[in-house]
This record gives sequence, C-alpha cells and structure tokens, in this order.
Amino acid sequence: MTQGSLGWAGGDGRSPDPAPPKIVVRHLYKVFRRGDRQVTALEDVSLAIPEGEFCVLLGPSGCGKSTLLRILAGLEAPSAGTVEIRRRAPQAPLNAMVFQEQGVLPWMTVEENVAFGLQMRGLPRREIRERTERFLEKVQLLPFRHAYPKELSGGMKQRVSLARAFVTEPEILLMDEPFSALDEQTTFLLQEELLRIWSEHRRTVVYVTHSIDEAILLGDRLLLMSARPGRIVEAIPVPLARPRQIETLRSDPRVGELFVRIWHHLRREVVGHRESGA
Amino acid sequence: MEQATTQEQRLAPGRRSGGGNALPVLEDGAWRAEQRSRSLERLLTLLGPLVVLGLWELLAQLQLIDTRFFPPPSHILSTLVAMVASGDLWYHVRASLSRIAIGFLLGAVPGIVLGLAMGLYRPVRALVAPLIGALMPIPTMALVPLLIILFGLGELSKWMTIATSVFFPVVINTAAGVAGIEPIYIDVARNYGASRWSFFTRIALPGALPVMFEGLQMGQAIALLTIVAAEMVAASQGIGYVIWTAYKTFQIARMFVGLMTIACLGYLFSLALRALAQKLTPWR
Ligand SMILES: Nc1ncnc2c1ncn2[C@@H]1O[C@H](COP(=O)(O)OP(=O)(O)OP(=O)(O)O)[C@@H](O)[C@H]1O
Ligand SMILES: [Mg+2]
Repeated sequence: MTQGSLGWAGGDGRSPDPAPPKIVVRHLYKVFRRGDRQVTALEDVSLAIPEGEFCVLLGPSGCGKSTLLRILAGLEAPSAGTVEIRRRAPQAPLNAMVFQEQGVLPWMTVEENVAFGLQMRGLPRREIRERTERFLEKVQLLPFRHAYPKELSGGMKQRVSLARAFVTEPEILLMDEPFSALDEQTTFLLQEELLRIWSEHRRTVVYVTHSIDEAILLGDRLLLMSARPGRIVEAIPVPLARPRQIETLRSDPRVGELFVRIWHHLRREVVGHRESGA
Repeated sequence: MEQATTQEQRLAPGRRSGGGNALPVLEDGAWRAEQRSRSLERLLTLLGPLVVLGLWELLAQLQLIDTRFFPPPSHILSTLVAMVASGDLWYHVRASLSRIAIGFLLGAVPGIVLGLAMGLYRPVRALVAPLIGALMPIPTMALVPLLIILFGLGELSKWMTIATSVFFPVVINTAAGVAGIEPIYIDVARNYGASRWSFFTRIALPGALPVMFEGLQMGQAIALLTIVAAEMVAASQGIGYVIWTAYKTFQIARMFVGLMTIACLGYLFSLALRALAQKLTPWR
C-alpha cells in the first residue's frame, strides 16, 4: 500500500497549496481492546486537509470512519500517530461535531440545544441569544425555538444539530453521517441547506458518509477508505463548480463517471473483504 | 423547501390546540367511539369498589359476616365523620405527615446525593455498591429495635426508620439513572467543552431525573408502609398509632378508618410526586 503519500497536500493533483494544511494526520492507528479480543479500527492513516476544504470520508460500514472522526474531535485517543489542527483564532472552539445518531439533548428546548455550545464557552448572554436566533432563522426553526426534541421530526432534529455545530463557529466541523437516518427528500433539502450555510464561511469540514451521491454533491475531495482495518486508499477530487444543485448534478456526465469510479473501488473493498473471510 | 416547512409547521406546539374542530367527519366518528369506550372504562373503575362496598354492607346488615371484624361500611363512615368532626383524625394525620415529610427528606436527599456520586464516579460506586446491596434486603421493620437503641424513643428514631426505608430505592434509582444516560449525550457535552459543573447540572442531573423520580415514587410508597411500624412503638399519636391502638382495644371501625386514611395519603402522595415530576421534566 502506498497510502503513506496519498492525501497529502498536493497529492490530490491540484496546484500545491502554499499555506500549511488545516488538519494533518500522521500514521494514525486505533486498536480497540475488548477483553482479550483486539479490533484494529484504523491502520496507518495519514491525511492532510487544506483550510476551507469540504472533505468527505467514504468507506464501507465498520471501516473506522466514525472512529477517525472521534479522534479528530478529541473524543477518542489514538493508539499511535499524531493529529494536528492548525488554529486560526485562538478563542474559537477547535471543533464541533454533528453526530451519527441523535445527538440532540432531549431535556433541552430547540433554543437551549443550539445555545449549548455557546453557553459552555461562557459568552455573554446577549451574544448567545443573538447568535442562536440568527442560526435558528437559518435552519428555519425559529417558530419551534421553545419546543422539545420529542415534538420534532427527524429532519428538524438534525437541523438543530447542524445549527448547534455551526453557531459556535469552530475551526473545523466534523459531521458523521448526519442525514443517514432521514428519508431521501428530507436529505436532499438538508443537504442544500447545509451547502448554503457552509458556503457563507467555508469552514473546513470533514464529512463522513457511505452514500456516493452525497459525497459527490457535497465534497471538494473524497477520501476513500478500505474495509476494516481502515486505511485511506484513494483521494478523488470532485471537479464540479459551486454552488452545486442536485438537479444540475444529476444531468452532469462527469458525475456518472465519478460515481462508477467510486463504486468500483468500494465494491472491491466490500467484496474483497468478504472473500477474505473477515 | 416550502413544502417541508408548511408540513412541519403543523407540528408547532402553539398551533396544535387550535385546530381541533377541523377534523374530517370520518375521524370524528372514530374519536367519538373512543371517547365512549373511555367513559365506559371510567365507569367500570368506579363500579368495582362500589360493588365490593355494597356487598360488604349487605352481608354485614344480614349478619352473614362477623361484624365485630368487618363492621358495615356505613358504620366505618360514621366513625370517620365523627373522627373528622372532633379533629381527632387531623391530629393524628398531622403527626404522621410531619414524620413522613421529615423522614422522607432525611432519606431522599442523601439518597440522591450518594446516587449521583455513584453514577458519576466509578470508585464511589465500587466502594458503596456492595454495602448497599447487602443492607437493602433487610426489612426496615426488623431494624426498628436497632434504630430505637441508636436514636432513642422520641421522634428521631421514627424519622430515621422512614429515612432508612426511603433511602435505598432512591439511591439505587438515582445511580441507575446516571449510569443509564446515553453515551452520546456525554460525547456532546465533552465535544462542546462542558465543565465538570456544567456536565453535572446540564447533563447528569436532567438525564437521571426520570429514573430518579421512579425511585422517589417507590420511596414514598415504602414510607407509608413504614410509618405504621414506626408508630407502633412508643408513640402517642399518628395514623400508625391509631391503627395499632384501635386494633388492640378492638375498635375495628376506627382501625378501618386508619387504613383508609393511609390508602388516601398514598394516593395523594403519588399524585403530588407525579405533578412534581411533570413540572421538573417537561421534556418527557
Ligand atoms: N468503543 C469501541 N470499542 C470496541 N470496538 C469499537 C469501538 N468503537 C468502534 N469499534 C469497532 O471499530 C470498528 C470501526 O467502527 P466505526 O464506528 O468507526 O465504523 P464506521 O466506519 O463509522 O461504520 P458505520 O459506517 O457503520 O458507521 C468497528 O469494527 C467497531 O466494531
Ligand atoms: Mg459510523
């Protein structure tokens, strides 16, 4: 495997970036121990993500995508290797995560959920209220600000999660299959909403998905992962102009080619993994 | 986008109550049928006790059951009225209520504090859990003599008897409530940099509250069971005292009044706790 060089700045075929990358991961390993059984979730993962890139991690189920994201978020310690995130503003939070499952806190109203990250940083009350309101507006939840999550649909809950992450204006945004539990139409709407909010500031995003369509729609660059133990095996730039729209993407022949290329790779990983008896 | 918003707006909390009259005819019929079966159900719940009481009255009047042990309900009722009118009942209820309230607090507060500590800190749990596991199965009644030796014959021993019985369900449920908080909520708190104090007040406490309240409900029920035992020894007032002395002096109607009072208190306590739980956990 040559993954050691893949994914590094300039390794994706674009013109070399003069600024140092936002996120640098070097030779990352993660081994989980349960009793006397060991699971290697990540094996020698190296990658570099430039500032402002929307980077999508794509790989078969169980390959360690969530684990990688949790390590980036500091929720899990690596077994070996290093993670560096270059800070721009020292007072901004390092990262904010949108979780795969329901990460909305059920005992807080929509408003309290969105304000949570800001409150934890001890910002002045007025600023918290103002910023919370702005983002509730952006995700169209202002009329539901005093509702509890049990009164919301799945799509609305994920909007709360998005607003809660974006409102803290973190250095990097981490998203773990935020829409995977939603129906297709709601997913389309939320993907467009996400792109709209993201395009305002273009923060660095690491986005995990196993939907190829979603990866192409959202990403500047796709990092393909192998089956477990997860490694980065290929980096594919997405040469599509922004703003992107689902309608125009569907009829773009380049998208079809990309889809096939990614699918070939993923199928190899999934099938190859199965045949090796794991 | 438009479609999604209008659809979701129908869920808006403010607009839910207003639209009741816009139901289509078909649903209206189904709704009426449901209401009818509901009121029937309510009627049946009332009917059960009434039938039992009526039968009891009838059998007692016909001398088919021994009225020395089962005085007719009408007799119990007149005893109740007399006890209420003379202030006798209130005198005893007041004594029991204050014992239950103080004992409940003495048991529930340490139970909540220790339960939270057990849920939050593994070393505390490792230290305390076996002790609690060993002590819990001992019936409080069996502890009454020991508690009297320790705390004397006065009010203190009665408070402590109730406190002991309330403590165990509360501590166990509180610890379980904290331990049962979804790991994802803990991740969310860590991800947004919650301090220890914030984690405690914004995640651990509200997360544990529903299960904790189940413990308080159990504690409340047990406190009522215990009050009778606590007031059997060296007491000169209280509902337990009424039941016990009425039984010993063979005033069976008076004893039944005591039993009914306990039942009513239990019902009122559980209503009050449920109302409190609804107020403190509005997200449920
Ligand atoms: N806390 C843990 N303890 C033990 N094993 C774990 C733990 N977390 C993850 N694993 C294992 O590590 C591997 C990778 O898990 P991870 O959740 O990162 O996969 P994923 O790529 O996110 O999968 P999916 O697409 O299904 O979400 C899995 O085999 C999983 O069983
Ligand atoms: Mg995952």
